[in-house]
Amino acid sequence: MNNEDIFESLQQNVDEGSRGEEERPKKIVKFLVFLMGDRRFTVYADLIREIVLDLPLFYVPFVPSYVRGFINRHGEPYTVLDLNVLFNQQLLESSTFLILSDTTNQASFLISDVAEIMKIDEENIHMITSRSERQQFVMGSITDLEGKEILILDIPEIFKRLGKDVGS
Amino acid sequence: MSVPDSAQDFLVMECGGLSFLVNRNQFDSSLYIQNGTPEGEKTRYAFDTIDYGGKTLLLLDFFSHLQLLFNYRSTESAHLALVVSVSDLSRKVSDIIHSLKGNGEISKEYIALRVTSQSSIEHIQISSLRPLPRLLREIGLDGGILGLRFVATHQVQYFIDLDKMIARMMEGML
Repeated sequence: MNNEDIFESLQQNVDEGSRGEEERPKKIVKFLVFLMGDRRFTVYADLIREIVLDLPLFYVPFVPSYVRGFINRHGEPYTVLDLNVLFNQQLLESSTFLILSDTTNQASFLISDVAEIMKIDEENIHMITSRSERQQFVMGSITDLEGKEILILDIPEIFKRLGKDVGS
Repeated sequence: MSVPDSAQDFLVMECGGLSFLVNRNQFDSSLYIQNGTPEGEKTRYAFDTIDYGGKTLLLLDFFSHLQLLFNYRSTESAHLALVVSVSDLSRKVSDIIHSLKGNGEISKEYIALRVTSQSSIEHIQISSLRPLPRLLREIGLDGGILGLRFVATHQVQYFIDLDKMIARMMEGML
């Protein structure tokens, strides 16, 4: 293929690419933003089943300190993870639970409060490709209307860490 | 294939606002003990000895062990002892009992566990029990927590395995 052919081919690629951009509908993704202390975090909204308040927390021995115990959700025990302990080594004083929709692992996060539901164009989700130790449980970020960054939690990584810590 | 629902006798122990279930098949009998409160320093959990039909049984302080494990304080009395046949326990526990030194008169056949006086036998549907959530199941089983039962939104009963719990206690005594 000579340069002329190559250039023509490149041109075609660009044309097809730009046509694709015009035609591709925007994909909107919903995020649930919550507070943990005074910091905001977010997770994909479809990973959350419900938010429950004021349930008693039952203690379990032998577990790492970020496992605060379990709650009774409609007769089924759900593990309660305190991410504030995992991230900041401080217990979160709260009784608000984010119940995850993953019924296999039956888990929930202890949070301070729900902040908002944000609808974000998929293109504006910034995924990270390499992580530092501090970003171990973060898969990316979104930005709010004021341009402030909100970290997206990587739930499978959190479960992986728990599995490692409890030896399962 | 559906599993037929069945019920079984459990010992329900209430202490410090918590509740524990023990399979009735895991112990032989129970008896009243005078010395329901510890006197002076003892080896950790090796509370005392008691007489059981002419046999001298090692009395382990299961009452204190549960408090330490589940992080609560109980001021209730504990004048009850469960008598457990060593042959019903795992090889691990049996080996530990046989390896204890300086206890020539102590029975190798039975051991006793001091528990709360607030204990009773209840007939409980197996279907009302739940395993721990998956993420905690394995570590719970290793430590002797087989499952749980919610008796109300605000109350839980921990279904515990005496064999595993005794093993943990006795490991601490060696």
